[in-house]
Amino acid sequence: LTGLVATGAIGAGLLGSLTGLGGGIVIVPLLTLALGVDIHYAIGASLVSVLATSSGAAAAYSREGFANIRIGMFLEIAATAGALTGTVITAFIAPKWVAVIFGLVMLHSAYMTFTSKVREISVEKPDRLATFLKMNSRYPSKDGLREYFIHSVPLGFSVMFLAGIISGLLGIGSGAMKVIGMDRIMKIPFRVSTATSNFMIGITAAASAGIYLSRGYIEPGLAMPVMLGVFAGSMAGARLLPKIKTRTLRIIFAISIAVIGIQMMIKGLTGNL
Amino acid sequence: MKKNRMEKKSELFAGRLVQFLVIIAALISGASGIFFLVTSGQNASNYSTFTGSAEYLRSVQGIIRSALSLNSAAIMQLGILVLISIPVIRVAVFLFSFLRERDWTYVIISTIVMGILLYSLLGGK
Repeated sequence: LTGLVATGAIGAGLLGSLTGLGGGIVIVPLLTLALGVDIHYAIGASLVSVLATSSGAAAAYSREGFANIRIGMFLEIAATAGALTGTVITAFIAPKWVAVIFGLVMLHSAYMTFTSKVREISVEKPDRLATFLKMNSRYPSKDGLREYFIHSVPLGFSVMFLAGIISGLLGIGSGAMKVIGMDRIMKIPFRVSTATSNFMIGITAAASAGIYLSRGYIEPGLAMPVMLGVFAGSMAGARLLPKIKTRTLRIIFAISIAVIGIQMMIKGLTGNL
Repeated sequence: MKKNRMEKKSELFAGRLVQFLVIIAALISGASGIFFLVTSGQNASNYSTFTGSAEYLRSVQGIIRSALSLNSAAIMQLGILVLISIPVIRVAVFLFSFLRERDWTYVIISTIVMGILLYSLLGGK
């Protein structure tokens, strides 16, 4: 079992770093649907995979790169508070509803993988709150440093709270949702959004991991192979990334996520989980 | 507002620290994991029904105490604990850097995040 879990985690780490979707969305179905692990343990192991993804990527690039620490830190107030809320909610709802929500989130991620596109960065005047919070910055691009301005801070903040709840509820990083919040709502350039999201998912996951640790969801026999597997997978992924075409991979991944998501919902509703 | 030198420096420092801690976490869990599999791998654990992990694996103090008495499950859990603490340490590094810049808005923001993280790790149920 340990070997299977580790192999699966390597795959999750690889896919995670190649497609930009977190490993959690792979780990939970792998453990529950394929290996028959209880969903509570699966959530705990999945949180560990999110932490490993975030730290592994930070270690691989040895600095935050494009990440905007100020934006990340500010939004983490909402995300960590959301994560705590999520952990409270899990204690009160039946596991089958957790499975159903998980399936819905998987379908949504699959949908997002298809529709993601590169958008022109915003050069409009920033809003006042963003300026007060010193969030506007610049990032290196082909034609030198480019400035970018941040918009809709309150709405982005609310989206992060929601992303935090989902993260705490399901044990995933909800990185996709964070990127949507930053890229589409706050008009942060896509590369800055993804790097900042990677900085953030680790912090959000740590906020719920402490609670889940004390509830006994984090079982070392499962979490250890997951952690090592994700480290190995994401490092290999970082090496492979420049060499392969990710477009086809993303499409295959999105389809399989949609299929597994539906399966997850059916199993949840029929009580086979 | 562009990144100033201080921020660049703390980003670099945080990056190096994460690198170091990732290696530590992997080594601790990996080594004890092999030992765990060799000694008790065959009486396969049952994860299909939720009973919760052993009581001593649920708190920071419990994990450290049992790890010191060389319990292999606790040492694995210690590696996981190092992993959980990495984001907390990252936040602390940036909190310190905002403090040195006297950027009070962000000192407060980082302190709130830090408070939530510490509550979860040390107090929350």
